[in-house]
Amino acid sequence: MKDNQFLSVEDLVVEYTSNDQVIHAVNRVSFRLDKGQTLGLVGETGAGKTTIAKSIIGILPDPPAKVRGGRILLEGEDLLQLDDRHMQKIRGKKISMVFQDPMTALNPNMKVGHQIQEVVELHENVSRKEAEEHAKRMLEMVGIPRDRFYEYPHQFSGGMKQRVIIAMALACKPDLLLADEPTTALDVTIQAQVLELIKNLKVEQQTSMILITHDLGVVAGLCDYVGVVYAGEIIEYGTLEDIFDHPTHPYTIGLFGALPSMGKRVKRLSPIHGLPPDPSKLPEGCSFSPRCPRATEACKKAPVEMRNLGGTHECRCILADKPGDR
Amino acid sequence: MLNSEKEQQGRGKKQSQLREVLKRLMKNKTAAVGMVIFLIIALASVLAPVLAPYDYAQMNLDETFQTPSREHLLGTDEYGRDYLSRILYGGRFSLGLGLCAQLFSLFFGVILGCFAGYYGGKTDNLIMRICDVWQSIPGILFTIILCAALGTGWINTVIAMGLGGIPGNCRMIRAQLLSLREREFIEAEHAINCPSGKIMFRHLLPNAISPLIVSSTMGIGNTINGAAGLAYLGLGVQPPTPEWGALISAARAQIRYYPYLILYPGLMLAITILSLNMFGDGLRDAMDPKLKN
Amino acid sequence: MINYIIKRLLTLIPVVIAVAIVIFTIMYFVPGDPAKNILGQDATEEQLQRERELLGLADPYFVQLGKFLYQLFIKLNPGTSWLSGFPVMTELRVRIPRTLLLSFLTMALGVAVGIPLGVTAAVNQNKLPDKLCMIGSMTFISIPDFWLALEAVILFGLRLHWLPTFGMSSWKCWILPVVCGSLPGIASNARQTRSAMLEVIRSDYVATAKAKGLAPGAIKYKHALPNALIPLITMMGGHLARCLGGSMILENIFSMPGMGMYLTTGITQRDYPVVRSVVVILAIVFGVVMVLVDIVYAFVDPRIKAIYENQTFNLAFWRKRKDA
Repeated sequence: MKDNQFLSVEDLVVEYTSNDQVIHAVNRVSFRLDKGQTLGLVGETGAGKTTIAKSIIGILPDPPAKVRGGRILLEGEDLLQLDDRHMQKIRGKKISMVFQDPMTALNPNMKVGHQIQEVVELHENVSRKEAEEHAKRMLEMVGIPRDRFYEYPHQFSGGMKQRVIIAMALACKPDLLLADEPTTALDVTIQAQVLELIKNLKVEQQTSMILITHDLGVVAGLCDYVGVVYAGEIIEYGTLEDIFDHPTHPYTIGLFGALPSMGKRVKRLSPIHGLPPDPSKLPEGCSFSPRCPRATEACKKAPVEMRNLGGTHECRCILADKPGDR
Repeated sequence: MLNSEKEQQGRGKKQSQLREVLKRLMKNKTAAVGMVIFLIIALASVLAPVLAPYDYAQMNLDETFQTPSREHLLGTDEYGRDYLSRILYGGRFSLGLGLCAQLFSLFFGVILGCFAGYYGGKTDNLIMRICDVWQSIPGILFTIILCAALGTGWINTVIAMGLGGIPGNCRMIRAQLLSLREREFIEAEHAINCPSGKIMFRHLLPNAISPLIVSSTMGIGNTINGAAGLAYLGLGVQPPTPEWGALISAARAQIRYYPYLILYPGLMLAITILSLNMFGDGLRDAMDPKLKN
Repeated sequence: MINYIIKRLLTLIPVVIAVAIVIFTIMYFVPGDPAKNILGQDATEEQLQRERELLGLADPYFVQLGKFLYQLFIKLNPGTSWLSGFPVMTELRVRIPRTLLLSFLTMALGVAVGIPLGVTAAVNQNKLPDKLCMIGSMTFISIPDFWLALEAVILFGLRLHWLPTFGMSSWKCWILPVVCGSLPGIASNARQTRSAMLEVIRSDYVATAKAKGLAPGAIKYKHALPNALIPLITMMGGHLARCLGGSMILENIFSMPGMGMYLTTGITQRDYPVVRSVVVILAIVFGVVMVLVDIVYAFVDPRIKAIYENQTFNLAFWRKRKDA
């Protein structure tokens, strides 16, 4: 099945084992991404978003994590079947990742410039001098003066560190950028700057991106497609308009209900009651059914398949063919 | 995760936490094996009067330096005393020494550490500077000097070993208290005007004690080890007291011809300390799963 | 940086003086009469009294203490041995290098073998090398060093006749003491290296390095190891202290005339000038090494180096680090 799909993830299953307990972190996740497009993965902490990203770039901590099934096709090549040596060539070159916490994601004992230079030397066929020059250019590109090349991470603020990490991730012009909550750990004002930076660089370099976040505002500003992740499953998937204008899954609707809105005046925000299920003991039926205000007996019996609601809009809810009634 | 658990002062929570620790501990094979071995040794020492085939001090000059035989399972020493009996009784002296010295240093270390950590300021500064000086003499050297000052013998070895352990315990409890003092639940106690003694012993100490339990478990082993070393140098427990180190010290003269006299007490020392270390290691993992690797 | 080193060394002075006072005080209260020890049991009370006055033992505590400190720190003369009558300094001059050599050799072997072992264990976590290393290190931490040394004497010296077991007449004499003395150090270094390494391997920047496409070897040795070694530097001071203490016992087992032998005979014979000066010297050595460790630490870790370069000496920071 060779099509020109840029990235397609099919039925990805990832499990963690700890103390004889199996934690179902990712369950049958599938999605596709075209070149230059951005997919936003939204969901609560612990829903499995980071695990999805880490399995794409192949840095799941093994043990305890293990990919149990599925395929991750990048330009028709299954990344899960590649051996370590091949994956090393892809990591940092074709796919790169920006981590959540810039404070800990840089090696504290290595000059920041060298950390960027390292990835250039690794993947590009250039001399040490050229790599250094390239790294300095990257620093400038993310708005850091080139003479700070020789400084250590502790001399940088959180926002600056995140810029360095972005420079590092984009140094080899990757085809796919995985951004794992790139702004969560930053101040609100810095968040906007970093997001703007990511947006511009992405356009400039024609990079596809998977943006992981729990901030719907960020999604609205950056993404073309949105996948809503709940308990290791994508429970709703569609274009930005599909999700924002016609949210269908009760969980997605709940997410929007828990957000204050500028336009509407609401007396009280409506939170989603309850907690996400224990990932070692997922419910038999729909994983959201214990918290769902509209759950029926049928919801609790069998797992719910993804249903197409027209176009790219898909939803994992048996009540989904009756959109609109809220 | 553990910290938030700790902050739960509720009784039921405390018990379930203890049960959780025990459960994790029993799952750890190394720790369980260590505990069983140690319990066997401790039991054998306690029951020495029942188990020992002879009186440990009973000399028999007709039967000196007998190699292990049916009558004397581990042979006899230079005065014809049954070596197995001596080693069994030796456990009482060695284990008792480790335990007492550890309790001694724990008691004073905790008191000093509480004062330093709770009152802070000048008290803290004074106590910490004393600890600095205390610890600027390498441990064994300090114990040697104390032994010289106090004289030899079991009780003096206990005091010397115990004194050496105080600054370490003091520092540890202080560091714990300093971090706990800033937490909300202690602030809440202050807010309701709880007396400081009560805050210290009811609320702070129980939360600060768990790393101390681990270090003390391993500390017993180290103390037994150190005390045996002192006895070997002739500065600790003196022969004919059958403490294991003293047994080795006494057997040193026979190293050329009767090396088994050195072998057995040394083996007992090694096994005892090993079991305590295995147990302590497991205990640490069980108490703080985060640290486990 | 120079400023910092000087200040750090200056803080040693009160500590060393305090140690001297503590030692003097402890020895002052030691039961037993040194005069009787020197003259023997048969001496008359008159003779004893004269001897005590000669040794300065008849003076009040503070006078004795003052004299002792004055002699030791101002005149740099720790006096003469009461028993042999030789100046302590001459003895020390010969003995200090021996003890230091023994301690440093055991420590060096402990580091040279222990750290690679720990790294090997960590990178093969939960595999056979790791398990072997952990079992081995647990065992050797637990075995009393003096007993191990005695068993080694029995096996390699008395049974197999491979190695000399006493004295220091040739380099062969050093093999058994150094190897036996370093085993506990090797074991504890291996354990500490392993856990430091495992902690670093789990850290975010190692994940970053992996995401960059670095090979596993480069990740371990270029990113993880240097970061894991830094906390180990602070443990070197404690390690040397244990080695110094260990050489006290090793010297006695292998009959090596160093400071340890000097000290223990000094104690049993109540030869106070010897005991005091040995302890003070060892405290100075220990203190200097601790300072060196701190300086090296500051040099290796850019974060801490920066702190010292910006503010010359921040006491509060020091305490925080030491007590943590």
